[in-house]
Formats: sequence, structure tokens, C-alpha cells
Amino acid sequence: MSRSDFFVGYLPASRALRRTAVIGALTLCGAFAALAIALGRTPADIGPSDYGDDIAATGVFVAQPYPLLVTPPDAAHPRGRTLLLGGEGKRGAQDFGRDLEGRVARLAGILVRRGEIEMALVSAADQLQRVDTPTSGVQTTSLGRWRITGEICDGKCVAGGMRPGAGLAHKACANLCTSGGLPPVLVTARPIEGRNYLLLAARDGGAAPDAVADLTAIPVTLEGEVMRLGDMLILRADWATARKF
Amino acid sequence: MSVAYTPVGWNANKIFYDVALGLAVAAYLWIFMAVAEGMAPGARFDDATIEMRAYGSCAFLMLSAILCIGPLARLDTRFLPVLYNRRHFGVMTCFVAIMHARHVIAWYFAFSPVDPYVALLSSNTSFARLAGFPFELLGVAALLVLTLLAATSHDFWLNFLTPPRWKALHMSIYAAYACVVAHVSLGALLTPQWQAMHVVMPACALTVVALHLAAAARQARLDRTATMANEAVGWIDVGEASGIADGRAIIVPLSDAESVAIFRNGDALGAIANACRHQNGPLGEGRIIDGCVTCPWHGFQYRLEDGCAPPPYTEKLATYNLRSANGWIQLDPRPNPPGTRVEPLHAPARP
Ligand code: HEM
Ligand code: FES
Repeated sequence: MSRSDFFVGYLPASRALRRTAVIGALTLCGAFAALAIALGRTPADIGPSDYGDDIAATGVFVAQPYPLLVTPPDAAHPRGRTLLLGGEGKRGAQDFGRDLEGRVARLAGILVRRGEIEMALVSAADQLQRVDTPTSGVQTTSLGRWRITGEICDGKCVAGGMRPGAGLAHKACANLCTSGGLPPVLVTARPIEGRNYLLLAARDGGAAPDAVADLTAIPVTLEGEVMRLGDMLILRADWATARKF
Repeated sequence: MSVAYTPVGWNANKIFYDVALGLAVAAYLWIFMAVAEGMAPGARFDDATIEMRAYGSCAFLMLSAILCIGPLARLDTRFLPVLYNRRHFGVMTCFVAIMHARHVIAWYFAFSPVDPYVALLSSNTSFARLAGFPFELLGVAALLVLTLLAATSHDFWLNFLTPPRWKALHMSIYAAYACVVAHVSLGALLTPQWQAMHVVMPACALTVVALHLAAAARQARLDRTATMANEAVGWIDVGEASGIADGRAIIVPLSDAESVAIFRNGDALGAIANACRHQNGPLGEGRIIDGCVTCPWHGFQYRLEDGCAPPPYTEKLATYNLRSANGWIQLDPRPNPPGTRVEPLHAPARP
């Protein structure tokens, strides 16, 4: 190396050094570009979702374990269609329909859907209004005790509120959603009675306990009584016996 | 080289360095986002998630690169120019990491009645588990360190804290890197489906470790020579006078990680401490420019005869005494007080 090759930051660089520097800079840019292509290609791998279609429906409002709307049977939904209801952002819909339990309500909301997981979003009181139609209410039937493996997600993000809305990178976010009142769901490893997810509830049929936060986003096995409400399955889990892997 | 403290000022080389680095970062972010947004609708992340992943992975790659520069420059002097402006690299990494954290906080921890920062610290408390551990907090720890180091990167802080303390503080970059590796391993990498990060992250971390081991092995070899020299009491034979090229030095390691640089300036030989007063740069790997020993790292200069930086600068190095015996140079390993003038040893380059 001649004297002119010796690099002193505040002196003009020699030609040889300038050439090395340009080659070095191009190598750095090239390596970063190649890594960007490789790392950018990671798939979210959870299937397409729709966010934003308007939905209008009339059905019976159910407040527990989480706000739900059960529409009467039709050709596409022989048992009736049970919609999860959610609020704005990371809030549940508990603020709406306080006086509607067991009554008929008309919903005008926004639909978030991934596969069979559907949630209607409501952000103002006039989006969920009482209708004076007489109703005999809705029937919850027990399908007996089950032990089911899957991943607990929050019902809004896994429906498409955020993508992927599942997985460990999303755990804290899902906990924030469920603590805000959004319904936790168990996305099952194998279909149960033809369904790929169950709404989670406490043993007494109320909202899932806070302990659900320790179980989100990881493979878990839950035991409990499976209930059918319209076309939705609800798992009233024994939270104390939950198994994590 | 300063009266009070010496900011290493701006110059054309630094501007080139920063522009090249800025271009590499911009290219990375742009390509990452374009590729990720081009994925099939069902396989595609949200825009916000894509951005947080682009910034996060960019900060990780930059941090890995920074940690490679030190050992690379020890192993091969051609990397010295990269070391010269490493601090700007670090500050830029900190900005990219802040963008990553901002996207995370404005997406995963927003839209809720809970304050985003409270949510960040409180919404996952599965501390007892590896899978499900609040890996975000490891990111927070790393970001705090990066921010502290970026804020104290200026030479003002080097002078204010004194070099040993500044150096000790900035060694915490290794703790930050360990936190980031754990942050990614316990977060994004636990996704079961295969992703390039599964290979890229271990490859980067292993490269960082391997380069440090290689540089340490080289240092250990030098230290062994030092121990041998140290066993000799009194004057040490350091070689033939003709073995030192004009304007260059040989480095003689002594005990206690101390070394001496013996420089030739024309027919004169002189010995000074090898560690630069600025950031301990290896002066013996430098050159004599305009009559002064010039540090290869940031170009601080010292006079060979008394170890003093030329006025108005005030840095002083220890000098050492040399003598000649039958064409061999001998070094007295006892240092003179910094700034002591020593008569140069006359030894023509070609006898
Ligand atoms: C306040 C500080 C931080 C927070 C809250 C945070 C949070 C997160 C979150 C939530 C993810 C998962 C994103 C996803 O996959 O959806 C993530 C991924 C990541 N973070 Fe951080 N982070 C922080 C600091 C850092 C720092 C300082 C670095 C590096 C220097 C870093 C590097 C990464 C990397 C490389 C990934 C993986 C990106 C990928 O998917 O390939 N993070 N971070
Ligand atoms: S000039 Fe910075 S270490 Fe010598």
C-alpha cells in the first residue's frame, strides 16, 4: 500500500481508495437489495379476508358471552346465521344493545370476514336498533363435553381486522383486543361439527376470564361443554384445565 | 488534537459514506415493501405490518453490519475506512429502529382505550414461557440502549465521560444486539411456516460471533509475543532497523495490553505509545503524514519526537527510549511521561 492508499478521513481520498469505496458501496447496496427481496417474500399464510362491505341484517340480539346477532334460518343458513358483533378499534360492542337482550334488532354495520369467521362492526347506537317484532328468542343446545386443540385469537383480527391476526407476533395485540371486550375465539386444528372455530366463554356462559391472556397465540387444548347457537359453536371451557404446549 | 474536545468534522469522505449508507437503507426499505405488497391477497400482510417488518429487519441487518466492522478492520486494514464513520452508521440504525417501534406502537398498540405505551408494557405478561414471552420488551430494551448510544455518540461525550468510560458505555451495544436476537427469535421466528429470516438471523449472529473470535485469536497471538518480550528484563530486541519502512511503523506488544509503535521518518526512528488518545486507534497501523504520525481511525496526529499533537491541539502520548546495538534496535519497555521529548535514533533506511 503506497502512502496515497492510506485513508485519512479528512484528506481527499486517492483514486485507488475512491474505487474501492465505490465498489464497497455498491456491494452494500446490492447485498441489502438481495436481502430485501428474500425477507420481503414472507407470506402471511392465513387466507384472504374481506374488510369493509356493508351488512344489514335483522335477528335476535344475545349479550352473553359476547354480543351476537342470530338471524332466522334461510337457504344459505339453515340454522340461522350467528354474527359476532364488535365495536370500533380494539373495543367490543358491549356499549350497544344494552336493552336488547333476547329482542329483535336491526343491524346496519360493516362486515369483516375470513372464511366462516364473520364479525359485524358497530360504532354508533343507531346501527343496532330495536324492532318491535315478537320473538320466541333463540335456542342454545348442548353438544356435550369436548376436548379441543387450536389457537386462541381475537375474533376481530383473525376475521381480517389485522393480517395475519394470528401467531405469536400478534399475541400482545390480541390480548389488548380481548381485554377491550372483543370476543376470543378458538381457531381449531381440525373441524368440529363442520366448523373451524368456536366462540369462547366462561363455564357459566359469561365472558371468558382474564386468564385467557396467558393462552392466546399458542397451541392450547381446552375442555368444556360445546353449545350451538344458530350456526355458531360456543365452548364453555373449564379454564383451570387448559393445557398449553 | 484539540484544545477542549475534538469533533471529527464533516468532510467529503463522510458525506460519501452517509450517502452510500442512506441509499442502501432506502433501497432495502423500498424493495422490501414492494415485494411484500406484491404478494397474493391471501398471503399478504397489512401495509402497517409490512412497514414494521421492513424497518425492523433493516435495523437488525444494520446492527449486525456495525458489529462486524470492528473485527474486520482488525483482521484486514482495508476495512478501516468503514470504521472511520461507524458512528453515523450507528445513529442511522437507531433512527430506523425508532421507525420500526413507531409503526408497532401505532398499529398493534393503538385503537384501544388503553394508552399505547401502557398497552405495550402491560398487554402480555406471559413471562414464564418462552413461546409467548413478551418479546416486545426485549425490543424496548434494545431501543433504549441504541438511543442512549446514539445520543452520546458525539465527541463531546467522549471527552466529557473520558474515553475508558465512554468505551465501557458503548460496549453495551453487545447487550442490545443480544436483546434484538432474542426479540426476533421469540417473536417473528416462532411462526411455524418457513421464512427467510429463519436463515438470515442465525447467519448474521454467527458471522458476528465468528469475526469476534477470529479477531480475538489474532490478538492472543500478539499477546503471546508480548509475554515473551516481557520476560526479558530491561531492553528488548525488536528487530533490524532496516525492517521498518519509511513513514511506517512496527508494533511491539508489551504487557497489560499496552503496545509501542516504532516509526521511521526518513533516517530517524522514534517510539510512542500505540493507542491513540482519541479512541484507542492503533497508531502503529497509521502513517507519517506531513511529518506527523497519523492515526488510521480518525486521523489524529502526533509528533514522533515527543508524542504531542501539534499545536493548538493538546493530546500527549507516552514516548519510549530506543538504542541501537549492532544494527539491531532495542526498546526500553518503561514509558516516559506523556509528552517527553526523546532524541530520535539515527538509523539510515538502507545501511
Ligand atoms: C420499542 C421497541 C420495539 C418494539 C415494541 C418492537 C416490536 C416488534 C413486534 C411487535 C414485532 C413483530 C412484527 C410482526 O411480525 O408482525 C417485531 C419484529 C421485529 N423487530 Fe422489533 N420491536 C422493537 C424494537 C426493535 C429493535 C430495536 C430492533 C432491531 C434493531 C427490532 C428488530 C425486529 C425484527 C428484525 C423483527 C422481525 C421482522 C420480521 O418479521 O422479519 N425491533 N418487533
Ligand atoms: S483518531 Fe480516532 S482513534 Fe485515533
